[in-house]
Amino acid sequence: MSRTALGPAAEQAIAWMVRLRSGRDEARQQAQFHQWLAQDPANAQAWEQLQRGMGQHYEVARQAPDALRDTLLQPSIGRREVLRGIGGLGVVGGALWLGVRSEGGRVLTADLRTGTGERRILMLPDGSRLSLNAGTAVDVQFTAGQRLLRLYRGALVIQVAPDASRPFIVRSEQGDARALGTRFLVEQQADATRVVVLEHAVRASLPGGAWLDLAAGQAALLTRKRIEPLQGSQAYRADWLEGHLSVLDEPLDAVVDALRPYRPGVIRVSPQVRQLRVQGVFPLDDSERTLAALEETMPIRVRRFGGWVTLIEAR
Amino acid sequence: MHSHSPLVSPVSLSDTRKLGFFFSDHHRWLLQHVRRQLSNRPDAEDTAAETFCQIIAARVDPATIEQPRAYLATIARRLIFDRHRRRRLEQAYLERLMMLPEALAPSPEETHLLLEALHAIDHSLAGLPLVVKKAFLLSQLDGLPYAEISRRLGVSERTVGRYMTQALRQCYLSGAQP
Repeated sequence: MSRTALGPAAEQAIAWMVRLRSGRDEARQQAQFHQWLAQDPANAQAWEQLQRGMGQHYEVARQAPDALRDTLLQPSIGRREVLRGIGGLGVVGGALWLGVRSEGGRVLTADLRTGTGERRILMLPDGSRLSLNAGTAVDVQFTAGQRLLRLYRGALVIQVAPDASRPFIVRSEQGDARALGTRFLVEQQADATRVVVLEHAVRASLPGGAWLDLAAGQAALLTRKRIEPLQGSQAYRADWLEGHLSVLDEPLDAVVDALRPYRPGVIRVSPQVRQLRVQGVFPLDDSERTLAALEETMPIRVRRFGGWVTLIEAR
Repeated sequence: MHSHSPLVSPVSLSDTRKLGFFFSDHHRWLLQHVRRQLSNRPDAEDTAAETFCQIIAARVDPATIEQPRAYLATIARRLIFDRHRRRRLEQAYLERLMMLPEALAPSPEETHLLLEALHAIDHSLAGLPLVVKKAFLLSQLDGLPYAEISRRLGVSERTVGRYMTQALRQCYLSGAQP
């Protein structure tokens, strides 16, 4: 349990309250307590704050019949209790990306998250190798029966360690990608999920039951309604592993979306230029250079406001 | 600090425009994010709107938020969690209310006040183990001495003292001035 550090006056105020409530030796304690209270304005202040925190609401609750008061004593909601890091990784303690918990009992549960401009490679407990693009959030839910990665946003490439008894599944908002072999990419987009098979094969499926097997080099887009095979090689989608963004022929909008996880603040693309087509290879780790390159080659103007707001509009 | 007047004066977007951009850039995403956790659409919309309201109410300058989505998600998560707690509390309250003889049941106005108070207490004691809450409420609501609490809960008086310390820390935090 996390403990917020309180100041010394606060800790003393609390200790006094604990003593005064005990129901023992009250007279002697009272005198000492008043001495403490008068000693330092900080003490009086801390005491006041503590009393505020124990105030009014309890007055109201005191009037209630016991049966109603006892509503406060329900067992607490199943907020995750097990939060463990893997291999010393920074794990987000607050469960930022709290999703639906798997119903299984004791699963190894950990939230992995990469921030702006941060890529990460890590080994999962089964020996699989997980690469996270910047701005990615994943839950790891391994049980005796399966290995499940829940992708909430961003993109990952997984190199699956073989384990015949435990299928390996990456679950996005739209559906599942189940490893039939080893290495593949899953990317959560706003309304769809892209699955790109880099080696061997993957079975993509929707909650409704539709499925499609993809072989190495093949890719598909999972939407709520269907699985659309994508034409041509999509392997370049994993180029973020090497720190660059390869664009064959895509709207500016999509290119900026790929840059977003690498740039703090807000990037806004004006509607007139969203559909401009872009080709090229751009550095991800230097989004400023990428924007400059785009500005040079396209009829756009990039305006920056204090480093946090970037506007891209028609020149 | 005005010592270095910049050659190019920084273009400043007015606060309202900044908020407008911030809202339009993230609203859709936030709504989707929230909907993954709340299946009920109006609830999700409420939560997304409430998240932005909190930012406006707190006069946060969106340009100073380093990771807007993580930030929004954190606020939304608290709101969602709060909403869950509140629902559960109300549910339990109503179940108990129905079992009470009519003479003892609070009036609708009293119920409203009481639910508010119970929710505030529930919120302030969130995360504490059940036995800690029990010990604290026996002292705080019933004014029982530790000897009696220790007898009822089957723990030592020292343990009751430790439970009290735990609960009071949270009370202290919720006593901070807004």
